[in-house]
Amino acid sequence: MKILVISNLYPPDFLGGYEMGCRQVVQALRTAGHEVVVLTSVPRSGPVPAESGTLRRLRLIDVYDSFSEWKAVPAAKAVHSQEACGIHAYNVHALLDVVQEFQPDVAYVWNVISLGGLGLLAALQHVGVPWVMHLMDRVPAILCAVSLNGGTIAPLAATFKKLCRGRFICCSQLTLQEIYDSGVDIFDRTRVLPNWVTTTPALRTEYRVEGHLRILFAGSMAAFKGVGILIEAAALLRDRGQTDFTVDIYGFGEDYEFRSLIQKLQIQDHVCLRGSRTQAELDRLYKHYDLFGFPTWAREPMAFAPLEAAAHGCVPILSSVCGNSEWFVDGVDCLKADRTPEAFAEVIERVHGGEVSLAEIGPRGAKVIRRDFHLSVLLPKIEAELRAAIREGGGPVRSADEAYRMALIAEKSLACLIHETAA
Amino acid sequence: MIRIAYLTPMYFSEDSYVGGGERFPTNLATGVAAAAGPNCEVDLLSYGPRSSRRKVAPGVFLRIMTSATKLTGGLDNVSWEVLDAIAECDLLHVHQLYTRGSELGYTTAKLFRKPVFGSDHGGSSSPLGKQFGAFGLIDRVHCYSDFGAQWFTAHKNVVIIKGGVDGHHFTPPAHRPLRDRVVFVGRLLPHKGIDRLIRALPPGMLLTCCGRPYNEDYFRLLRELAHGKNVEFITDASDETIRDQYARAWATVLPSVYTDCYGRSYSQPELMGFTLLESMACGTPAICSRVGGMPEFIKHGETGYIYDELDELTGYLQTLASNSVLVERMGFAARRTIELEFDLRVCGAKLWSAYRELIEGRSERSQAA
Repeated sequence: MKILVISNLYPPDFLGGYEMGCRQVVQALRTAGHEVVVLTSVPRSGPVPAESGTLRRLRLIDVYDSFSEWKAVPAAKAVHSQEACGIHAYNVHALLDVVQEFQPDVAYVWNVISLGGLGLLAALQHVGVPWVMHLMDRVPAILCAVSLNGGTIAPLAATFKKLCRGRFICCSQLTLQEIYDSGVDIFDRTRVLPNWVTTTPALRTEYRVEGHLRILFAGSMAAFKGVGILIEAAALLRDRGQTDFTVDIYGFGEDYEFRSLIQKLQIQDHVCLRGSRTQAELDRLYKHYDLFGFPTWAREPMAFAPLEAAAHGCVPILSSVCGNSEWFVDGVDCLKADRTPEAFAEVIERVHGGEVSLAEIGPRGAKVIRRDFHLSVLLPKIEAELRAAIREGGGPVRSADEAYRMALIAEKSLACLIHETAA
Repeated sequence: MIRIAYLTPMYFSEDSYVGGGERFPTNLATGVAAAAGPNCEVDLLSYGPRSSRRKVAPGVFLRIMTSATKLTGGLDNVSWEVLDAIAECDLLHVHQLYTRGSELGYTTAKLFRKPVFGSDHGGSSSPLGKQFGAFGLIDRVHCYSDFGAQWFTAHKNVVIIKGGVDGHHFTPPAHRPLRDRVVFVGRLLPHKGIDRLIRALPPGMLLTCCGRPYNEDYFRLLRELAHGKNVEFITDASDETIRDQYARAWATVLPSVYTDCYGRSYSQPELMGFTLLESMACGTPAICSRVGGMPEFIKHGETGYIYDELDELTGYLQTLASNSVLVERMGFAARRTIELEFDLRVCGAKLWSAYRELIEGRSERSQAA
């Protein structure tokens, strides 16, 4: 297949799970013999080396840049949001050029927030290119909200459903349900496939070396990820008399809030903020840990890090409300806890006390990951979705000129409306 | 059931933001519905403070969509409801091509792959359509005069359908009152050339000007010019009053100009001259300047007169005022012309035929694809 991958960011420009996942699939598709071109934005954070098959031609409307957005006046923010989620004519033009040059059989769309995602999808449909969108976040809901944080605009969501001819792959029922609850119904066009790992580490047998329990967390240093919950759980464990454990926290982002919490709880002897690590570095670290603490929020679609840890036999303790939880069985191939410090402390205490056997759960979890969550297992299913989209076809082919003209008029007209309304 | 949607920034109703002037799309809709019969409905889509839908004529519904923006009373209202309205229709006819609502309307229609008709009524509030080639997105441009069509020479698919007056609403009176005056009906604006009509008015002849004054300076000038002449202004005329004025007139005059009394130029002062057609429908001769599309609707010497110079106008007015037989003969011919050529039912049938051709062509292409 000739596959055009479209993503707002693409490594090494940014190292979030969504982007890393995109690159892993691109590499796997290429290895499987497909011709893949990646269309992404110009680098967000400085130059990156040119890479064959990656076209950095799109313009990123960086609504994720909270500082710039904070500084912007309301009308400018509204225009940014419109261009980021709605229609960005420049990007429509760039996409149409690449479609013309590459003549893809199918477009494989990833996160298109910040690119004028609705306009890109409309342009693909207009020129008859079938598409599949891979969801690791509630992207359609955000596009139909024309805002990162606003509510979905119901008439826009209804129109999206009416016009949508694409297919979706979604990483969890949780995320799919969240998109539905936002007013965007894509159930009948979606296949739920989990996220994955790409490595197959040797199975381990040793846990709690020298009786010491090693726990880690890896991810964004954000409250919603539950970093604070994990720190408080550690304090509770200490208060209950458990001392032979450590919690190492790896992550990117501001950590002063958690440093303060660690100081306040006087838990420095047990909890350590270890800074950011690359995925490869983390991959080497997991085997040295017994537990992966993951008290993340209910909006976690399906994080990669706990899967990668589990592949190494590091047993994840998952917040029972997150997307990862729906794929694993508590006490069989993972541990689950309510999203509170008390619940996490209790589960860790049970491990500490020997009620829970990591030597049984860890290897079982690693085998499950190999069997069901390895990219080599999932890739044929992804390919099947892409082929199904091609079979369904992209609909009648209309001209690229017309699509661009529509994008221009719509973008300018919406910008005028926003300014007129703000005036 | 075929559903046609007419997207118009304003509608002819007391509730309208603009307060009138959009009679023409309503007339066309009525004509199309009459020609199409029970298998077609036309929704006039416009904007208001609250959503509603009501029947305004057989097969014609006025659907008011809640405006999504601050309502300015101008041409640039938009509504989220337009998405649904366009999704449900088989063809979109955009009235007033150069407005924000139209831009979003025809773009949305293209997303839904709906055929699009467009009519330019001379209004403009946005240059974007012209700037970015809106005509590439409009399948057929509907013009109601050759003059109007000349602005679309680059567009391959221009449909010229002249007229659109409601000959059932504007009819000769059952008992005609005494004809004793000349009438002007229209907005009291400089490009209408009313100052020239007053100057050309023969001494003692009564001129009734019906229309809202939109320009205070110009209205003051008209009143100054009218001083010492027999001129009256009716600035709040109802439909009933206007019909009565047509009935009382020897002639209705539309003296529009390309350059007004202040030296300002107009490229499209009159695309049709709708009040001339209303007058003719009422059996009253029409007189117009040789400006815009107006001369295309008057058979000189048969249904009225076309003038170049003001003294010609003065002469025609004197001729009609002094020859009641000529007035009646011209008035009868004018009415006949409306019935045969320019009535909304005649236009509706032609437009319906053009719509069907486009809808069926689209449908055939879809099936082939």
